[in-house]
Amino acid sequence: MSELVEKLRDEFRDKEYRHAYADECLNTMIATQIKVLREQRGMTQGQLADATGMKQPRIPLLEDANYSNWTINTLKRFAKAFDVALSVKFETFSKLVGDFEALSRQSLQRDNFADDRQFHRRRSVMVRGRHNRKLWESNSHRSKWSRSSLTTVVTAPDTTPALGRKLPVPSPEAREGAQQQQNSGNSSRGLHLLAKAGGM
Amino acid sequence: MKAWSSNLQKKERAKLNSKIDALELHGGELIPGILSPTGVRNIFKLRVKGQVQLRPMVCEGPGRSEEAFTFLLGATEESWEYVPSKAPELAASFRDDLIAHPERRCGHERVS
Repeated sequence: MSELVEKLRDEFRDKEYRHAYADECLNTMIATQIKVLREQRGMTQGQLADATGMKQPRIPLLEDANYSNWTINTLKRFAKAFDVALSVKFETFSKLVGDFEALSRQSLQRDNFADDRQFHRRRSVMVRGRHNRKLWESNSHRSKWSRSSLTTVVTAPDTTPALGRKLPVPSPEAREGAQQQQNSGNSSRGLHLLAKAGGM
Repeated sequence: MKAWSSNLQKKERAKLNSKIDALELHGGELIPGILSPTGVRNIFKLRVKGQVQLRPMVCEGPGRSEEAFTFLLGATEESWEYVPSKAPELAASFRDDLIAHPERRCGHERVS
């Protein structure tokens, strides 16, 4: 249980009070995150003004915990300038207060799309097809598959050796060389030679 | 401070408490615009926007080694004028008094 929630338990019984308090929290968190994201990207207020298409004097006004006239469109402009997604959702008071309590520079920082690991990692990722099947695939093949192929059973050729791809067979000379290396105790080099001879 | 905040409307009190909680939790560095200089050395105003512009006067410490803030005076701002007038100067004199008599400082009493 959040300490702040505990502290606010009685005060929040009053509807007008809790909404006024929550408004203030929201304004504080938006302004703080805009400043944190700008600093994370090493931008000046002038550069942010250029990126959002706003006049420079407007940025310090918006980067102020007391600014309250937010519009979704203004927030979208910031989201685009920072290359992050904007998420607007309704929340319970306890969640809002918990977030307010946990506010920190680190908790507010967000990677831009280029640094968004979920989108750029090389490992297997899960995608869901039209019929909500879980399909696993390697990132490197995604671009080759059409949308419709993701909704059916996918039997992609050449994905892994286990699916039947034939590995090139090393020549007898290469195998002999590898055996000699292994006998001389240098097993890692032997493996390397085998792989090389096999064309891996 | 307690008497001053007791006279505020409910909505103003909620906003003030939110700002006080933010200051207590996160200090004056992370949140932009939470504390503004007043033009008087060591005296800051906690800015709370609303129908009544609340500007309680605050100082850091005043002990040098502790991370704390002290409310010195409840004030508002109307048409760019402080009420009471010269609130920052008055707060500075309270701060001096507090340094001379640290026992006069007490824990913050929240008015909800």
